[in-house]
Amino acid sequence: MPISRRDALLVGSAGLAAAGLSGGRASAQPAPRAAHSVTVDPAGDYAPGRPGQEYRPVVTPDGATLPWRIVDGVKVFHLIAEEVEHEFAPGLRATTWGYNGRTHGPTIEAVEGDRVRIYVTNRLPASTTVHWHGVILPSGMDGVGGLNQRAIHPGETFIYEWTFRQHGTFMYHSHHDEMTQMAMGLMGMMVVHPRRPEGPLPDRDYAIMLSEWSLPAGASRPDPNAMADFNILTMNAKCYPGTSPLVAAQGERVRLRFGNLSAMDHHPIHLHGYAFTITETDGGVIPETARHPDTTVLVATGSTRTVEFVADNPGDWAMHCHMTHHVMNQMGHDLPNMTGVDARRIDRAVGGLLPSYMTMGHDGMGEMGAHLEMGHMPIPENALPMIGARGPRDYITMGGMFTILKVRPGLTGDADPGWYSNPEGEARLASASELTRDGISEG
Amino acid sequence: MNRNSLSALVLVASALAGCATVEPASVAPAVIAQASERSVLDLSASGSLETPQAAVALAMAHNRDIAGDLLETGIAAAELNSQSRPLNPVLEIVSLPGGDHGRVYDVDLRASVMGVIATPWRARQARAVYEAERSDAVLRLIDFSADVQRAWVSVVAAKQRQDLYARILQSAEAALVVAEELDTAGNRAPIALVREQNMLVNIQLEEGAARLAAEQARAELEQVLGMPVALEDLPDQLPAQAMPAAVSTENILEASLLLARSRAEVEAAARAAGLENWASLLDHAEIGLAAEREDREWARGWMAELSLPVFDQGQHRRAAARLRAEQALERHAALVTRIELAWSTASNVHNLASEQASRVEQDLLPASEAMLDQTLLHYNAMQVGVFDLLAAFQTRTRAGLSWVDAREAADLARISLDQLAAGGSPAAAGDAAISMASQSEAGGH
Ligand SMILES: [Cu+2]
Repeated sequence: MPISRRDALLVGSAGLAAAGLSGGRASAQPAPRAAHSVTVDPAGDYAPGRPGQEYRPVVTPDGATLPWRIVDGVKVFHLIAEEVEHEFAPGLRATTWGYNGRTHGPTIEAVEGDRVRIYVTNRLPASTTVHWHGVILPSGMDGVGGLNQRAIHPGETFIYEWTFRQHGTFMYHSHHDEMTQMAMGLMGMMVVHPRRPEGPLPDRDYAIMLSEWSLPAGASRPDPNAMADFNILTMNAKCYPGTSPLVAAQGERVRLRFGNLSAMDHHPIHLHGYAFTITETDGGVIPETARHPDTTVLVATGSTRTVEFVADNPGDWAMHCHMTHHVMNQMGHDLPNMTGVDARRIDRAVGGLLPSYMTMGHDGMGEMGAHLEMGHMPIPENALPMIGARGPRDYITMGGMFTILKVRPGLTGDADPGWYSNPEGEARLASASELTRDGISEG
Repeated sequence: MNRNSLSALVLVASALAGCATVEPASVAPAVIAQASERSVLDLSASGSLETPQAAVALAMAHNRDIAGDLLETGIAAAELNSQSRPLNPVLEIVSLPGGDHGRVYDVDLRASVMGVIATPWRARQARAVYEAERSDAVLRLIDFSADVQRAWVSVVAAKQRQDLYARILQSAEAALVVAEELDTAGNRAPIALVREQNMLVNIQLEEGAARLAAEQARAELEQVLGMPVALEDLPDQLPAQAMPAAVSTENILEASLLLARSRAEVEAAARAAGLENWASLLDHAEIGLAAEREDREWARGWMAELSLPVFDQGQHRRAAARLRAEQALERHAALVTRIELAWSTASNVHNLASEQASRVEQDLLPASEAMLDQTLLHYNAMQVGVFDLLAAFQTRTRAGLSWVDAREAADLARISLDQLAAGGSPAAAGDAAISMASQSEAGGH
């Protein structure tokens, strides 16, 4: 690995910014310093970082990493904005917009100090641009249509080029007619690894983009005009049960990088079974003194949050947005509140007119997924109403922004290890003798 | 004039009259047969309320007014027979005490000249009256048959509307049950229940109006049939669309019984005007034999009696007759116009109403059915609630009402067209078409 002269000066430091050093002025007054995190010499030349050598690649569940090639020491990427046939979950497809044949676009991965050249080809029916969210770069590369550049017209290919002088978790997205284009899915994650990592490297490094969609049941194109009624909440553009589980071997260090580009919502992402440390934002590494343990990280829209923990608690652990309407799928929101009504009386009255009628919602929504799964009731084509999937012990009444972290002893590879068996037992029906023993009255 | 010459006169007159007689009892069946032939209706079939045609047969068997009207033709036949004979001669005998010479007798036998000579004319006039009476009876049957069919269509349509409103009411009642349950569970503010109760009352009123309309239509059918009718005896649905006979305006004019009668009246008036030229002069002209017995001796001679055209030469009667002929021509022309207008009105109404009916059948009914199906899918997927589902049910049922409206309008117009094609009266046909069209236009119900 070639190391520049300036690099040598930085070895062992947390980076220029963290060191707060700038000539001999340190003793007088704290010098103004950049907030973002740097471990390279801003003026230095660095060879392109290589996976497995300068960095351990990030994994984008249900996603991909954008390939690149090196041309004269520059990492060359090619993003193609285009229409995509996307599946949110089995039974729910839509025509969305994305990059390189997928929604969201593949994760762009680089190493601090890398010079990158990103070609953007527009195969959409509309003009577009790409903004590199959180990246410190020259003004002309920032991608705000009309402000920093003219829009890329359909059929055109633009070049963006800069050198990463920071590391962290960032995002990219359209910055032309954002409302429409982001609602259609034009976004992706961007991970820049530190040239000089500090502390232990994660064994598992996951990137998860949070977003939201308005897709009426039975429709097949997201509605960009929606402002409040989002009914598909996704992690990497998948809603549960479409989300693939995250896996880790017991004892592994796990890093989760969340980005949120939802139109109108923030997402408090909660992980079961663990406390984690929030280590970074898209602004940079949080100084260790400012970190705190947590079980829920609020990922505001337009920001990224990185959390880390050691997966020392084996099991199947839910991880989801804690806003309860964000763990639902395509549920209607103008329904009368049927909770607690006498369903049989209504069934008699309405069933006399419509024999297939069945009162729903009188005992909550929990049974709905199972009802639909059994095929009792036909629903519109291409719809994922309500929630859930068959779990190992019962129906899992969760949907939307929900996934499962599976931690197993001695696990290798990325494959889904199946359901956990709970060797220490699990919650079960109390027996009569237990009730008596402990003086519990059910009445 | 001797006895022989008088007999000869009577003989000649009888010959001139043609001597044809009509058997009065045979006229009514002939009229029914003629009406059946024109209207393609089996008026003698055993009746029921299953189809409009069967209802006509039923009406024929039960409506005593129609039976009474048919007897009119027999009376006309008898009248015709009587008018086809010359006027009987008059025998006048005067006997006076004659003193010494015994009683004086004065015997006159005389016959009216016009009463004998004009017998053929008078017979022809009487036949015209008889033919008119008979044609009127056929017309009456054709119009009556159309009235029965219209009443039948209206009552079946009203019954169908009543059934559909009952379904709408049922869905409103179901909505109220849901609203009550939501209220009892404390899931909505009381205003929601009140709103639902209001909606129910409004639909109850609509349903009540539909039942009232069905009752009125039933009573009208009862009246035209002349017998009691129960809604249960009628079909639940209007029958499949029947097309009117393909005929032209010329055919209609040719078939029209009223027009034929009007033509006859024109001819009769013209004949009468010609006859009047003589009749006005020979109004009072009699010839005859006179015998007188005086002094026990019979004296025989002849007599003639004649009114002298001194003060009135008959020109006023002739003028009136000419005007009557002219008047008949005007009336005839007016009738042609009325028939043409009735025909074009009924044709237009039929075309438009049929178009509406096809649109309802081909587009609205499947669309509202699909709407209900889709709403059910979306209900199952919890995208919409039970009220949306009941609303879709109501929408579909109201599409059924549109179907009934359009089909009824098309059927009534078709009956009017058939009525005209059979030679029926334009007033009944035209009025029915227009009133039905304006009812549809108002949106009805
Ligand atoms: Cu959320």
